[in-house]
Amino acid sequence: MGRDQEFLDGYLIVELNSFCIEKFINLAYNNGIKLWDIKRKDLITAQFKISSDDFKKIKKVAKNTKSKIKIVQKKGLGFYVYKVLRRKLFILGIIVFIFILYYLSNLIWIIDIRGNKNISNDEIVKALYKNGIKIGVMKNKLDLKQIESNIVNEIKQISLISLSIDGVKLNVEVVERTLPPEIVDTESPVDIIAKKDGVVTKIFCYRGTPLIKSGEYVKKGQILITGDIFRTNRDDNSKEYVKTIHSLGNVYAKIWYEIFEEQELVYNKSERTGNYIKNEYMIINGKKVYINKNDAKFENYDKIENRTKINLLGYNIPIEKVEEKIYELKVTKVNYSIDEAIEIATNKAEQEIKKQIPKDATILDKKYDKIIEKNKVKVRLLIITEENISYEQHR
Amino acid sequence: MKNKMKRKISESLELPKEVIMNVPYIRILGNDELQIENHKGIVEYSSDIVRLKSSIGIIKIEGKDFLIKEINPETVVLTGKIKNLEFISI
Repeated sequence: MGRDQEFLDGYLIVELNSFCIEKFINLAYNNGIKLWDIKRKDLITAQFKISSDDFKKIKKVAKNTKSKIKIVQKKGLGFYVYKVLRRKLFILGIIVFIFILYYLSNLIWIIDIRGNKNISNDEIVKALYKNGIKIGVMKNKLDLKQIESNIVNEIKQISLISLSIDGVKLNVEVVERTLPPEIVDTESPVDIIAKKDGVVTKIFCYRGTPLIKSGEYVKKGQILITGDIFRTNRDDNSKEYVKTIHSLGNVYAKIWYEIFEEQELVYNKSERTGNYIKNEYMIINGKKVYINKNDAKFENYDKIENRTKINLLGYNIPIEKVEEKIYELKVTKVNYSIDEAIEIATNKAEQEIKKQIPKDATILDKKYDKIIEKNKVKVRLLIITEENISYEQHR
Repeated sequence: MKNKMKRKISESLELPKEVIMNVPYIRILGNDELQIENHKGIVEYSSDIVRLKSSIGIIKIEGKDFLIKEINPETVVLTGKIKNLEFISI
């Protein structure tokens, strides 16, 4: 249509005051001046459009026809840009916008991990985090090659990792390594020592010289099977040292576990009533600033604090938000009968003792002793187990 | 102008009629656009009446809301509601 070109070049809307408008128009186009959208308003005024380059020429024509011209409006890209550039705050906004866009496009927003079957994503993300990669980190600060080699060293199941940045996305390609089975180095000198105190019940010695016999009491750290090998001389029964090997063997022993628990017959039992107060405050530079404060107080209470650090653009700022819940407690005195008290104490004792016994131990015997006193009950729990106490110690 | 016409005729014989005969070529699109080639200037121009000079006399156009879309030595493009077209020979 040609109008777009006129917009790009820029044009003026001009008002003409003349007694001989027709003459003015004829003169204008005969001088090669392009006018368009000429509109007669009344007897002496007309309005037309003219390209900004031709405006100087039209002044001469106006002089010749003794008419007056006045620019009503300037239109076009050039004028528009000029107008926009004069608004300082707008320009500042554009600059800030571009800066923010540029800044945000310099951060990593997505981490895409591919190729892992046995290693969890969490493990890789943790390793990346250790090396300074997380969502929101500046991508041009990262030395990807260095990080790649660090991660390969850190996680042994990874044989190859390749990091590449694709815009705001970090692509992590992982190639897993199938680990070879662990080979026991039979040449390194190794003794088998006791893990715990106990009475030896069984000895399975595959390599090395056993130093203990079944039924013997051993202490923690005592050598059970030594890697030293001796040769016995038949003549004088003396022993001659040959060499030291990697000893192998399992030693089982009886082990005692003992625990005391007591239970008072009169007991203060506290229960939550369901009433609670919620306080919220921020910790700014160690000072508490309350957002939401409740003045009510309880005689007995449980306090639960929930702290969250506030993150701003990936940076930790020293402001913490704390949500505090105070639950009201109701304290009641409970009287237990002796049987009930014993049961509670026994349960407690069993729970405590379970923490000490390893899972692979077989329980041989369980004994309870009950002592009843004036206002409390004592329970002594004894458990005898048989377990593997051998532990390989390198010399 | 006459010299120019003669030169054009001598260049080729396959020229459109309006050029050889030196008469205006008028095209009207519906009743709201009018295009005149070979005009010889504006005599009168207002929003109701436009009069144009041409070789065969004055062309008078009556109507409403006239606007000269484009004007150059060869062509005039006029828009507006056209009611009447009249040739006034000299």
